[in-house]
Amino acid sequence: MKTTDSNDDGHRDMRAALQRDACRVKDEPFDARLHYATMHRIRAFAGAGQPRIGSWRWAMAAACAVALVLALLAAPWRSQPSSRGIVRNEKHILPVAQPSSAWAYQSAANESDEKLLAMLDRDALLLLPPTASTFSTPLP
Amino acid sequence: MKPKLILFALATASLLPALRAEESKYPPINPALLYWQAAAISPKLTDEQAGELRDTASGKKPIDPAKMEALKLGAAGRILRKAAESTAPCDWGLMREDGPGMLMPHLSKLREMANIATAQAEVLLAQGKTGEGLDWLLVTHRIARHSGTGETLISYLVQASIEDLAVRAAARHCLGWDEATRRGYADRLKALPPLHSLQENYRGEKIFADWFEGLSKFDGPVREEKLKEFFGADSGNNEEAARLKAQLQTLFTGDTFDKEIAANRAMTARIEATLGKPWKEASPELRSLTEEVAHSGFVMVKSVVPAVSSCLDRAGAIATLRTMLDVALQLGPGLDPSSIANYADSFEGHPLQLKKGEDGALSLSALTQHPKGKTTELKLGK
Repeated sequence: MKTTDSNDDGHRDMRAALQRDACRVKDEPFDARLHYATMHRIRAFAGAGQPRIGSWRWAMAAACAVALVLALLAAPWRSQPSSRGIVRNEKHILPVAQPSSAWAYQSAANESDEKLLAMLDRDALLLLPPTASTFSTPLP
Repeated sequence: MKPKLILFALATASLLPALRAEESKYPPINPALLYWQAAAISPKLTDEQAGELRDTASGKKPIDPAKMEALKLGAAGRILRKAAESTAPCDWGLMREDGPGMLMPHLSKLREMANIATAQAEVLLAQGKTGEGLDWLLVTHRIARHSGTGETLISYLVQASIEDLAVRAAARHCLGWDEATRRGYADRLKALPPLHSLQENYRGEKIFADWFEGLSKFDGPVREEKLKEFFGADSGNNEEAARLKAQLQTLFTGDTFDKEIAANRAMTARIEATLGKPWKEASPELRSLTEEVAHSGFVMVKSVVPAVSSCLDRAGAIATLRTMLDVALQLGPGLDPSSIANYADSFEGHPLQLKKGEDGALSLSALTQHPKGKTTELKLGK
């Protein structure tokens, strides 16, 4: 069956890669038993119920996706959408401004005083994150 | 009376050397550094707490002393007061060479600290501790002046909003103070350094033109890199950003830039001169200049020169509110239409209007609206 063949192909590729790596180690002769034991452990980690060739690639892709989502969530400017990329009129010639920058505040002020003050209030909460011990006891 | 005065003068003179010695041992510290120290050890507020603090400071919500108690300013409160009272020049260390990218994180923290100081004043005034409450209101007034140090329009607007906060807070209570307290507070307000003027702060806006001029001196690829750095890596996905970036890049070809920058500097000089005039003269001149800017063929004029009409109205409103508070402090509960006839707003110079609400609450207001639809009004209370 095609599935079995492709699975074998995948293992063959990995085996070849591992053998190439092993050949580069000059001081020690290639230990086939150690190699197969290692292969056995790798397969066990990969999971016995996932025989398809793309499984490790899917796992890798999923890990990357999770990391990307976490990075996006952790990036401080993502919680400040109005200070970036908002272009409403000709006044905003430099639309992607650094948070807390003169241009970000000026862009907000061009819209209204209220917009500027709201941006300042939000920025105040983002500055000086609560890492100091003083901040360890939140207010009731 | 005279011997008492002589004794007072002698006592003051005898204390002066000690005060001078103290000052040379611990010279006044740049208030900017003290504000950052206060901010670093202030309790971290949640979104909700910050909102409550703002509402308490602006009088929108009644004071909850328990919540203020929970704030536990402690040392942060002492440092905040020390910062506000420092007589040393205030230097925020702004990196002007960064032009529009110059960071001004102090402004948001100062606004937060102004809310804390005013809310603190509200709690103390509600507890009948008028003297201490007024001390905290003066902290807010001083924070306003320190926020105006920075020579940008944004610094000016933040200064105006904090001063507005302090004036309105005092007005909410001043009719309940005895004459000595009112006069004493009026004297302390007069002794404060003046607010930074709109003209002074507008002058600093030349950092934008300076930054573009600096860019023009770089070779094409370096300039491109710096523009890219400023626009951010994701601007390529934004159609309008890309269009504007391209528009900016055309400035640097041939002798275009020299003409553009000259037009920018000429226009900003005219606006700066206009801002030095009283509102009544400046307002129509500024309207016509704003029209000129909007129809300019120069990118560096049309897109870079900031709109300042609203700032001028803000300046007029703040000056009018200060006059209103002075009137209320001077006249107290005896305020009536005839007694305020000689006091005028800082717009067209119309006499102030005294209004009585359905609940009997008094307020002073300006006759005309600037900007349109916005009445400058100060609510007075006990």
